[in-house]
Amino acid sequence: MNAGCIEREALSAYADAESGPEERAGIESHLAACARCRARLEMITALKKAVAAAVVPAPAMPADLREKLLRMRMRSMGLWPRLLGFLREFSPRRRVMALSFSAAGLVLALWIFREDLPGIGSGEEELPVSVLLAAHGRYASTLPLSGAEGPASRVQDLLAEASDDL
Amino acid sequence: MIFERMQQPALPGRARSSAVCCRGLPAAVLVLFAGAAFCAPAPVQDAQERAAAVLRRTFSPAREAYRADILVLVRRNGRDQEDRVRVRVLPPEGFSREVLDAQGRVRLRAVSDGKVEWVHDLSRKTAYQGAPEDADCKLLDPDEELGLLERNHALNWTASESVAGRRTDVLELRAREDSRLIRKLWVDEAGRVLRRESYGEDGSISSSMRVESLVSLPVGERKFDLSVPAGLRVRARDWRPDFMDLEEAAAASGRKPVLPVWLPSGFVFESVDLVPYKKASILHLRFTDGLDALSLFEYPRGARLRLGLSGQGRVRSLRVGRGRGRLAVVPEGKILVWSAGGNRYVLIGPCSVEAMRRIASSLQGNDRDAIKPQDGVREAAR
Repeated sequence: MNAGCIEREALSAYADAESGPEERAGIESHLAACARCRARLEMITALKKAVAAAVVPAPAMPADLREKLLRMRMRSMGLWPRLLGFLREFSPRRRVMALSFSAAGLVLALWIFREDLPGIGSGEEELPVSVLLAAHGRYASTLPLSGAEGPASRVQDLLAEASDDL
Repeated sequence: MIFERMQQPALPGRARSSAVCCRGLPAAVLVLFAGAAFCAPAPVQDAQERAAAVLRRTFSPAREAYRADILVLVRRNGRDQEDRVRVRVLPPEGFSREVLDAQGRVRLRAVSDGKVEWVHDLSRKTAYQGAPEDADCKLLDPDEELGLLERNHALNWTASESVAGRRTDVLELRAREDSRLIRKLWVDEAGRVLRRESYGEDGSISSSMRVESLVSLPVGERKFDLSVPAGLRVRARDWRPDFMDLEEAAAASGRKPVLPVWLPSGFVFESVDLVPYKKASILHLRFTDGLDALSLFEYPRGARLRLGLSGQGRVRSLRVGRGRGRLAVVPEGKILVWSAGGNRYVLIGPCSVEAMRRIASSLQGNDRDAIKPQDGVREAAR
């Protein structure tokens, strides 16, 4: 390179159209007079084209990896954000359907197991099963061949336990 | 009655019939007949008659004052639960039963002189006073009960074994319906049941008791102390169950008791008891096959009582008639709870799940699953 020729970085910037107007004008007047710099510019431009042609486009993220990452994110969240995140996956129509089915399932479960739930809205008192087991045991102990130990020792326990509620 | 039947001479049946036609026959034929009389079926007959005699012994009242340490095992939620009970018996009606904890300390004591019964619950610091147990608190008399027992169960003497150092006869009770082994009893010379095993539907032992030691009650212990230990609060309780027929129960409770149309083979309606709880009066309909008890409790929905099954292991839901019921398995058998026709029902008994469901379904007003007569339905009421 002769003194007064253009630096490689400046030529590269010119080839990428990144030079300022003044620098660009100076480069163009020099190129008109310098065959060597014109040859260098051509080489830089050709190289840039070759590199651009050789670049492979970035691969798309595999679907299973995406799901895995989503699941990991869900796991790190609380129950409600997870549930909301899950619902967001649905379309609005499906979202309404899912919520309706869930509500219907809850009502059905409450109806089926209503006897097991402590007096939901009924104001009912609990009748200890021990009261009835004790009455059953007392009768069973009067039958022939009931043992010398009397009403099973457990029944005696229940008897006492039940009596507190009488 | 059964006692009279049992008291017949213990001659093998075939020997009795062949003895009539022996006279005048040649000696060889006589020998032949005698041989036939004692061939194969005779031991079976012997075992049955011997079993009947042993069974009869168990009904004779205790004559000897004794003390026994008993181990009671019940299967609960798939695990064996062990209780140790110390029993003292003082004829004619005195008894004391002490339930011991794992360290051998008394945690519950029931003591009676035949007139008053005390239950001292030491862990709860409470004493309950009431009338003593009375085996006559029912409508069936002992002969009828024994008749039921005999009709529903085949009884066999199987062996002689030693329990707590005493010779016992081992009896087996099998259901006549399907020959299933239901109970084994070890009975000593005095008629005491020293060991008992009860079997479940699958043939495994569901509960058992065994006397580990038995001695004559020392003279010093032949007077029971009925005083209440210091520090216990005293509460009165009438332990004695009532025994009414259906009309009496209807008059006493103001409700007509509802009987199931179907009962397991051998079970009959026995009597009704009224169980007071808070302001409600619960009807307790009692059924028996002579060996086991089946209880049906009913009370109106208006009593606003909900039966709690918490602590009874796994509770499953099953269809009962037009509705659903809850079923739990306990050492006493099974508990089925359901509602129908404005009433709530609780069934407690040793039957199979299917039998429990069929009894419940056959109640009036809940008859979608009621069994047709050709399926073996019979009236529960006598």
